[in-house]
Amino acid sequence: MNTTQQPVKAYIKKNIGLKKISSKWVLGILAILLLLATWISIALGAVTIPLDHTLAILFQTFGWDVSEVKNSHNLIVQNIRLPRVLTAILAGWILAISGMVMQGLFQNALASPYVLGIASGASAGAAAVIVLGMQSSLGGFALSLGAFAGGTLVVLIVYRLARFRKGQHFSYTLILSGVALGALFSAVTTFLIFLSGEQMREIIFWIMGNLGRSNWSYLPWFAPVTLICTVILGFYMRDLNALSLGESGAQHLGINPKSMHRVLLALVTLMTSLAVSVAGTIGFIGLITPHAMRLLVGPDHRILLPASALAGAIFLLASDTLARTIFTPVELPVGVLTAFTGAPFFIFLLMMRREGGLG
Amino acid sequence: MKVQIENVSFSYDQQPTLKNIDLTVEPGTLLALVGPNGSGKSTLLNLISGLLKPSQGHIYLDAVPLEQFKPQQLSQKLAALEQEHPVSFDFTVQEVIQWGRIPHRSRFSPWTDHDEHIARNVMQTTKTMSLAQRSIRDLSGGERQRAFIAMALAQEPQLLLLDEPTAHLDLKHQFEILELARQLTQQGMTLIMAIHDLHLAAQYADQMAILNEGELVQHGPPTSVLTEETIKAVWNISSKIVHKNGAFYIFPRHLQP
Repeated sequence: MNTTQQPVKAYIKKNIGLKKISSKWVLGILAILLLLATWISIALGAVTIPLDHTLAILFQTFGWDVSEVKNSHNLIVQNIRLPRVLTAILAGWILAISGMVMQGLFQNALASPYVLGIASGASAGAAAVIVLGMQSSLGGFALSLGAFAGGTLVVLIVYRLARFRKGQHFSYTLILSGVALGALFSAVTTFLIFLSGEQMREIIFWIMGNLGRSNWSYLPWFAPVTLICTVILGFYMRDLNALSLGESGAQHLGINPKSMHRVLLALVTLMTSLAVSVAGTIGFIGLITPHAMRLLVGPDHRILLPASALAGAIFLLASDTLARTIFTPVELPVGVLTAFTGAPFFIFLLMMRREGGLG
Repeated sequence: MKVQIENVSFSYDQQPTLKNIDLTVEPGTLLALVGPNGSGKSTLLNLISGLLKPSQGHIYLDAVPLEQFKPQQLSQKLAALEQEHPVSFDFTVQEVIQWGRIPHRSRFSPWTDHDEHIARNVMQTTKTMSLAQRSIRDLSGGERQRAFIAMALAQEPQLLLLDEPTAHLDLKHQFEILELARQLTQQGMTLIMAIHDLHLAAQYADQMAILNEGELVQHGPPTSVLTEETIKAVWNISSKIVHKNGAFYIFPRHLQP
């Protein structure tokens, strides 16, 4: 139990003093980093746009003409880069806070937004759309709809299954049902890939996660839904802290853990399914970001929520920008990149693991 | 707070774990619940705290039926600590103690001077001030127990339920917890505590209730209910009880064949 058993962690606490940085500073720095990352990401790409022009175009978008810019640059930013950058920010934001909420709900720092099988369900849904050829008739919308339906369906089934068993250990049953249903839907996806033939590449590309299909069409409602869900989540963070005492411990403080589970799972499922439906099943962001932020600002979910949201947005935005620029003109699926950076970091966190979870 | 338990039974999966319990605890008393493992002590505590619902009978807190309290109302009057307190993340002792104020605050209300005053008071009572910034997971058993009692006290309860608060603690820390318990009951709090150590229970408790196989065997002042016959009947151990200078010693001899 004492710190000598976790030399790495003790070292970080003592010598780097991460926890001593005020959380307000962390949030401020993250917000500035996100703005910088957005600016640079819009400038970079197959055609590199000078940074000052990028800024001018952005001002123009909001109705403030400052200087003349090339029309082609304007079009690239308005039609291609801006929607893509916004999608990356929103998806990263969602995945990180969803992961954080799942970790809090299941009192397990190894939980991810996909712990209840959303990813497997969404993959199966998207694969079904591709194999049935509905994509050609309905366009990209069909793919998003298939993924969204698959993801939410799995969570609904998992939730129903877990409620069959009465008594305590509700969250434990939820996780196990999630694992089982996830495996089942992964099998469905594999079967669909087996059937698919030439579309195989397309399915796999989708599963690995990429933001290549970003456009303006969904952003007018995707962004407000994300913000509203985040605000509602904010009101539950104090109770989520107390859930660290276990379900009965929280109950002794007058909290109803089951209703909290219901509300938070509904919000997380809605947001994650939306993110997955536009970006595919991008891994590791939801697992790693809340961890890293917990090291920086401590376990208080009220601060962890905005910190994870900002950090997740930066993480996915930076990864996506790298993914589309390192092998230009070929794009790497961004999920590959997040896994390449996320997995080693995850191993590092495992080395610091102590009994009862990470933290 | 007065606690009345009237003809309460509880079955888990058709298996009766408590049978027709009748028990009244007067305000300001320390009641020790004793009995062998599996005799139903924890179940009884969970019934009083409202975590479980009796399959028969009623529990009254100050003459109000337990089921009439809303969860938040109940948590303003009653605090309960279970045997194990797993905390999943590295929260500080101070943060944990602040959770004790949740019953008295809405989701939107800020931390007030009154909340701070109470948090400081309970930290003083439980001697946890110096632990405030430590992680709850880095504490020793005794410190941990004190921190959780501080959280429970921050609820400003009139009734405190403790399930084996002295388990795994060394002698000094066991005494610390029981001294604290006595001090709280002297201030008018009602305290019900499940405990295994019969000597400590006899020394500190005002009343003792002995449970065996889900039934209330004896209830009364410790020295009058703890007899050689009762110990033989409940724990299946033959013993010698010696009263000397007002103190009371149990010498267990051997298991009954």
